[in-house]
This record gives sequence, structure tokens and C-alpha cells, in this order.
Amino acid sequence: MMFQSQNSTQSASQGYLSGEDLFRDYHLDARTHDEMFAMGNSPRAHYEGMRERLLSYMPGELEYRQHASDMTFLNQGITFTVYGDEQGTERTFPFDLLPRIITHAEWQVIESGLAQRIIALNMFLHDIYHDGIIFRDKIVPYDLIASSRHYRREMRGVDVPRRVYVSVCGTDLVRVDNGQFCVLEDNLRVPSGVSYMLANRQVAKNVFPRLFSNYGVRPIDHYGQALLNTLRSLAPAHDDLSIVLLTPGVYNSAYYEHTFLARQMGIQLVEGRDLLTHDGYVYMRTISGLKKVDVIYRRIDDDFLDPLAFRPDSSLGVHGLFNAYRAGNVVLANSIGTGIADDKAVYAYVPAIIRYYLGEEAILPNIETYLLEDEKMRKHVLANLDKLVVKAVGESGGYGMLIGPHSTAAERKTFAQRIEAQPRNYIAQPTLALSTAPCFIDGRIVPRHVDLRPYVLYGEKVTIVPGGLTRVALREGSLVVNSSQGGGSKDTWVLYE
Amino acid sequence: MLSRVADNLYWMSRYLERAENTARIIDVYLTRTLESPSGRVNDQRITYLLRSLDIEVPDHLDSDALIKGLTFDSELGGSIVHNLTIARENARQIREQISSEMWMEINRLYLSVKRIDKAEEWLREPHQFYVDVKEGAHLFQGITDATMNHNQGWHFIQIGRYLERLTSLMTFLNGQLLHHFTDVVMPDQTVERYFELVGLLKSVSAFEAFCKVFNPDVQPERIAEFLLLNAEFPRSARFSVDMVFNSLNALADATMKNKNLRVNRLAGRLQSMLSFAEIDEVLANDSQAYLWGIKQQSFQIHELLFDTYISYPIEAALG
Repeated sequence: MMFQSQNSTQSASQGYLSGEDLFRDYHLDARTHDEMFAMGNSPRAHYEGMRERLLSYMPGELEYRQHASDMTFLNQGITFTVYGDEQGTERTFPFDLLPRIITHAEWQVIESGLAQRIIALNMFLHDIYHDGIIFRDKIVPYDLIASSRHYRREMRGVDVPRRVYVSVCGTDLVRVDNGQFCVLEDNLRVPSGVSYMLANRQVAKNVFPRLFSNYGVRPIDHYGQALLNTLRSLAPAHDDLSIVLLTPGVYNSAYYEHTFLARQMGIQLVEGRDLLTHDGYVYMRTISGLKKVDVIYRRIDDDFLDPLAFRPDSSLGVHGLFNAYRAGNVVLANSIGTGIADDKAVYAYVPAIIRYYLGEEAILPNIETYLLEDEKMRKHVLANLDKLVVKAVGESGGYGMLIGPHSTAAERKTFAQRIEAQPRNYIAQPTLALSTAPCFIDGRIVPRHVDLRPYVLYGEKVTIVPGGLTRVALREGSLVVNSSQGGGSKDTWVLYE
Repeated sequence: MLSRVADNLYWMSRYLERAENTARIIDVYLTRTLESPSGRVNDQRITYLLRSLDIEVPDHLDSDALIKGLTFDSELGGSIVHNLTIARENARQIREQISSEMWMEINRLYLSVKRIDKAEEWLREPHQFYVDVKEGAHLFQGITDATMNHNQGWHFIQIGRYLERLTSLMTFLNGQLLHHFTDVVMPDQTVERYFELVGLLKSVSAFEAFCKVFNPDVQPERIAEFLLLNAEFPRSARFSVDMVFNSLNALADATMKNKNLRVNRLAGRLQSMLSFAEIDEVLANDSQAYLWGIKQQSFQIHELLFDTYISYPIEAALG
């Protein structure tokens, strides 16, 4: 790799910054926690190594590495077909090459907090689908649960293997102004993005090989194996266990991830039309005949899983799957009916849920949440819409959301009407100052808001691959990190020490 | 391997072969039309063309419109663009099963014929269009052979390709060869007739190969013999059946089924028939019925293939 060395005046005329100049537009905001710099622009200890490396680069070297990372995505086929694109053209998911670094101590807190949370949520799910003792003890109001369309009455009394309803969970964490990690929301139905996490690691290793090895970063490549073990643990031990990944098919925007994971785990990727049920068992149609299926890692929502049990117009599901499931003849990961626990209104009760089932205080706190069915809270929220974030309870992807400080009066009026009409369907939270992390944008390093989505697996035990997907709001000042709305991602490095 | 995947691989291959086949036939037709554009002969020529593609002959023959439709009309079942569209769609459904090079090539070929300005380009240089389709199909087949495991999926691709080749060859010979046995040829038409026969061979890329086996005195009887019975020419009926039979046996092995399956036996019988046939006997009897008989058996092999591997009834599979 040849690099011409240039002095800084030459580079300035070429537009390539180097040395301290790279950081000249890195302005800290006193209201947010910055991942790299503490107040007064002093770098945090765990970012020192990265800073030194960046300062040592020749002008243009970062641009080169950014370009190399884009090419790696393309050449290794880590591209994503844009949803609905007729041409089948490929896009690379916006990737920022500067890794987000988390210390061992910080990760320990996150890890134990996430484990605590998934265990408690599973106990909660078991309880609300069986005896509902938590209602009797008045910790969570029954009406709140019963009024959610994600509470599946069909699951009442159904026993699931190991009492594990949620075996794959993506919990979104944010870091607030005092540096503490808080839970923004849980994703307990069909969380996605893990393929980006794995792809980002591959690319980051190519782009910063020495930095990566000098730092001592905990590996994540075993995710596929960990997921496979988790799925296996849910079925009775068996030599010939048949595990499949059920996908909605090529038209789904997460299809790439489905094929990727199926390949990583060495399991068959199937669509609803490949499966059939007979005598309460599930089979897949192969050229060698019908093969019994034992475990289904399903990436299809409850509603579309079985036209006989749920939406009859679904062409993605399998007739009779729910009956086979209820009879215990097939394992579904995640179970049916988990959506109730990631309902945003139920979210507000999670610390109480943890306390109730585990007798512990939540290690990872919630964000303060206003439930709008309460009249006093609703009045307060409606009076302060311009300062709050309002979210629709069942939505995801950053849609159905009002970000008060960025909204127009008209938008606020619309939301106020919706809240009055259906208060149960909305919650409000104070606007958060998400932490910022260094990103390489337009030739300089600048701070952008980030969050963190670790992936939590639960089978025989809780397994959390260190790190997860760090999502970035690439637009300056934006707080929305979702890929469909101008977001990007980074590799996340959890250090050994 | 999922039945659905086998189904997609089969049809991807069959539609691609169909597109290539059509491109070849039209290309030769256009060349012949340039060589001897006389009106009445042209009507006849386009009729033969339509018959050789199994397209209904309309009352009014507008050959320009027909050729354009056979090339570009995505609604018309036999058109090149329609066939490439379906081939590519089948490939897309099983993109993970084929190599990325295979996908890139079939997608490229599809996109190239769907370009907005393609019809204009075709008006200026029609020959190049058909050459591109042929070469694209060849490239895809070569990439397939070079980058895909020669496993069950690959065999379904072979069966699709060769069954299509067999079926369309029968239709083609019926439409373009048989009339040469019954036509009365005037002395001043012998040269014209010679060029027709050469054109026929070129429509299946057989002229040069033919001349290596028989002398260039092209006679319909020898053409029939070559295209039906020659074991070495890759576009012959015999060769196609050999490939289908081999792949069916490989599939039976791979899925641990008995090679004595009905579908294998049927292919074997057809292979025997073509291996031991005497062309004089064939031509002395009802040759049209003979071609039709082969076509029928080809349909049956297709049906049985699906019954055995793809759309078998549940009870049969579990019983």
C-alpha cells in the first residue's frame, strides 16, 4: 500500500485533514455524554489508543480506509437489496468505520442487567399466560395486558419448553447524560440487525487490523453457534434434530439476514409454503420426501404464522402450525404471544416486574415513561408536547413517533388528537440526550448520536454476545437511528479489560 | 433440498433455454429474409417460423410486428423478453442456492433486454440482439457448470435445460423440416432450397457440426438423422435424452431412491428408442407422429419428475 507523504499545507489544499485537524469540528455538548471525550476535550482512557492511531494517519488515509470498508461490503457480498427495488440493485448499509468502544466494566453492568431483564420477562410471560398472579398482587393492571392486541389468548395454559418464551431478544440501550446505560425498549418478537453486527465486525477487522489486535476486543463470531445451541436447547435432545429458519421470503427487507443466519448455522431456510402439518406434526417438502421439523426459528410475525389460527389472509404461514405448537410437537423460537412484553406501555412496568419476580432492583434503569391513560399524566403530556417524545405503543422502526422539539405545531395537533382518541395506544418520554460517538463524515471526525442493540439469547442459559449493533443517527442533530430513516451503524468493541 | 428450490432451478433453466432457442431461430429467419426477401416466400417462411415455436398462426401476417412481438412482448408467452423475465424471477427466488456469479449474469442479461432503448437499438442492429441473448445464455450455462456444485440442484438445471431442448426441437422439426419431405422442388429452386436447409441447421447451431459428420450436400434425410439420432451433437434429441437420463439417475442416487422409478424407466425407454432407431424406417413411416411421440414422452417425463420430487401427494410420502 503506497502512500505519498505530504505536509499539512499541501493536504489542506487537497481537502484531506490529518492530525489534530481531524477533530477540529468535534464540538461537545454539555448536555450529552460523549463516548470518546470527557468534558474539556480530554479523551477517555479506553479511546486513547484509537485517538493516537487517528492522529498518526497521513492525510487521506481515513478516506482510503472508509473507501476500503465500502468495497469490502460490496466484494464480500454484504449488500442489501433495497426493499421493493425492481432492479434488484445492491446497496451497502451506511457504515461508519470508527468503532464504538465499551470497557469491560461497562459491559459487565450491561450484561448482568440484560440477563436479569430477559429472565424476569420470561417469568412474566409465563405468569400472564397461566395463573396471572402478578395481576392478583396488583403489580400490573390486568386491563393493560388484556387490551393489547399482542396478548394472545390462544396461548393461555400452553406450556412452552423450559418456560422460555423469548429466546432471542434485541434490547435497545441508550446512554444518558450522566453516562449511565438505560433501556430504551425491548424487542421480543422478531428482532433483526444481527447480520449487520456480524458484517460490521468483519469489515472493521479488515480496516483496522492492528488497532483491533492491540486493543484486545472480545469476539462475536460465535453468534451463529450460540443461536444454534439456544435453539437446540429448547428441544428434547436428539441426534437428528431438524431446525429450520422460517422466512417470509425474498420480498422481506430483512431477507438477507435470514439467508445469512441460516447459512451461519447450517440450517435449512424455509418459507411457509415449504411446510405442512399432518397429524399435528410439521414437515417440510424436500425432493427426498417429507422431513419432520422439530424447531422453527421463525422470522414471521404471530399474525401471519398460521391462517387457521391467526390472520386467515396470510399466505406466508403454515396451516395448522399453532395446533402442532400447542401439542408440543414443534418448538417455535420465539414463542407466540411475546409481543405483549415489548408493548411500550408494559415497558413502564418492567422495573416493577423485575422486582416482583426476582426480588431485585433493575440493574439497567428504564427511561421515565408517562402512561397516557392516567388523566393527570395525559394532561401534563398534552401541555408539554413540544418537549416530549410520544410513541405509538405497537409500532417500531421510528414510525408513529413525535419528537416534540423537532415537530411543527400541526404535527403536535395531530398527535394530540390521536392521544385523546386512544390514550392506551401512546406513551410519552422526555427527549433524551443520547450519547454521541466519533464518526467520520465529510472528511472530518464529528460526534453523532448513537444507541446500542445487544442481542440476548436464552435457552438453557442466557448468552449475550459482547457488544451488539451500535446504530448511528448520521444526520447532524438527528436522534433517529433506524436504518430506514437515515441511520447507519458501527462495529462495537467490548474490551477484555 | 427443498422441493420448491428444485422447482425454481428447473424452470429457471427451462425458460432460459427457451429464450436462447427462440433467439437462434429468429436470428436465422431474419438472415434468410434478407437473403431472399420475396413476398410470397416470406409469408410461408413466417408461417414455418411460428409453427416451429408453437405459436398460433394469425390470419393476417405482419411479419415485422410478429418478429418484434416474439422478441419484446412481455405479455406474449413465447417472447424472448417474457422467457428471460421468468427465468430471472425463478433465479431470484432461490438466489442463495445459485452462485453469486450465476445470479449476476442472469440478472445482467435480463436487465440488458429490459432497457428502455432496447427496441430502438434492435431496429438498427437486430442481429446483435439475438447474438447477445445466445451468448448470455451460454455464459450463464458455463458459469453454472464452473461455479455450482454438481449436486441435486445442478441436475435439476440439466434436466430443465435438456427437456426444453428436446421438446422445442420436436416442435421445430415439425414446423421447419417436415415440409421438405413433401415439397415439390423445381429445378430453379434447388439453390434456394439448399439455403433453407442450411438455415434450418443454423437455427440449432448445427451446420458446422453437421458438415463434420456428413458431407455438405445437405439433404433433409441426413438432417433428420443428425438432429434426432446423433449421440455426440449437443443439441440433438438423442444427446438431450442421454443427459436427462443421466441426471435422473444421479438424482435417484442422491435421494436414495430406487433407480427403477417410473420417471427413470420412461427416460431410459426413450433413450433406447433413439439409440437403436433406423432413420429410414422413421422416415418411411409417419414422421410427424414420430416427432409427436417423442414430444409426448418428454411431457410425461416432466410430469413424472414433478410427481416424484416436487408435488408428490402427502399420503404417498408418509405412507
